[in-house]
Amino acid sequence: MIDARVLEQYSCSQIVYRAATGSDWIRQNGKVRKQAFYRRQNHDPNGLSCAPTQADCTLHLDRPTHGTITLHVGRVRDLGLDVIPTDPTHANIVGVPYREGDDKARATFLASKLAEIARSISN
Amino acid sequence: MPQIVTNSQPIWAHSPPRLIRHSDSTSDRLREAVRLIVLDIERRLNPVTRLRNQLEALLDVDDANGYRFRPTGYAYQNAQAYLEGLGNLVEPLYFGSPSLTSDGEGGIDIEWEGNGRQVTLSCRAGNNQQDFLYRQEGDSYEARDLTPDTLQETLIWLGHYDRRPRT
Repeated sequence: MIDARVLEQYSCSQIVYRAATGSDWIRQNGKVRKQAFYRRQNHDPNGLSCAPTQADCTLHLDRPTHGTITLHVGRVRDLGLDVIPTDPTHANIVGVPYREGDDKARATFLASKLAEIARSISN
Repeated sequence: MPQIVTNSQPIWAHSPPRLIRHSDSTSDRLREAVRLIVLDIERRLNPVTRLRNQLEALLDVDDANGYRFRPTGYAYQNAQAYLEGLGNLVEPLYFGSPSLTSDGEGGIDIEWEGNGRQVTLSCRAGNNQQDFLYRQEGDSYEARDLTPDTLQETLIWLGHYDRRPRT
């Protein structure tokens, strides 16, 4: 059973980690590409996956990753988004729409802004 | 076409008398080598060719962890057509150095950045989705339908070139 205390809202000072699954999500200069934050129709029904620790962000992944992307929860909230824990080792960045219809511009913009505030750690 | 020179003269100016068949062959081989070098330089300098090579390289990328990094045939063909079209729309040397990135759903993003501005031409994975142009400067952004006019106008806005299209 999940301890409810663990699933309390993250504080704004919390750092969350997202696995760089795409080989080009992190540029050679360490900057993060916005494609790392596109919400995919068949992959991200509840939001963009992230984790409270670097080790947790690669749990359940079946292929090697290409580094780790970090985000400051407070800065994510500054964009009007939120980071909601779903279990002790996983959370979702919520509020990013799919790149479809009238939402495609806002979805691309938010992905770009998330990339702007993100930092990277190479493997 | 540029000439490669030795001692201020084209190398073929040093060809020996044509009566010597063996040297004719050597000279021909040299000319052919020079021609290939020039072609190679032109190919490397041509952004359309470079981008075509980058596009082909995307086909070798493996999907991973539920993401579709390898482009669909639909996205690939559209991206190829846009890149070829760009070469006709503007002088190739003036349309900047876009990067090609998978969108993780089988589509391809052609991206330009410069002067604090960014432009993305999104080539979607399937024909049930609409390719579009996205542009952003700071916190201002918009998505536009993709047409030759909007593409040209957007690239002018980006500041990568200020020339009128070829006539």
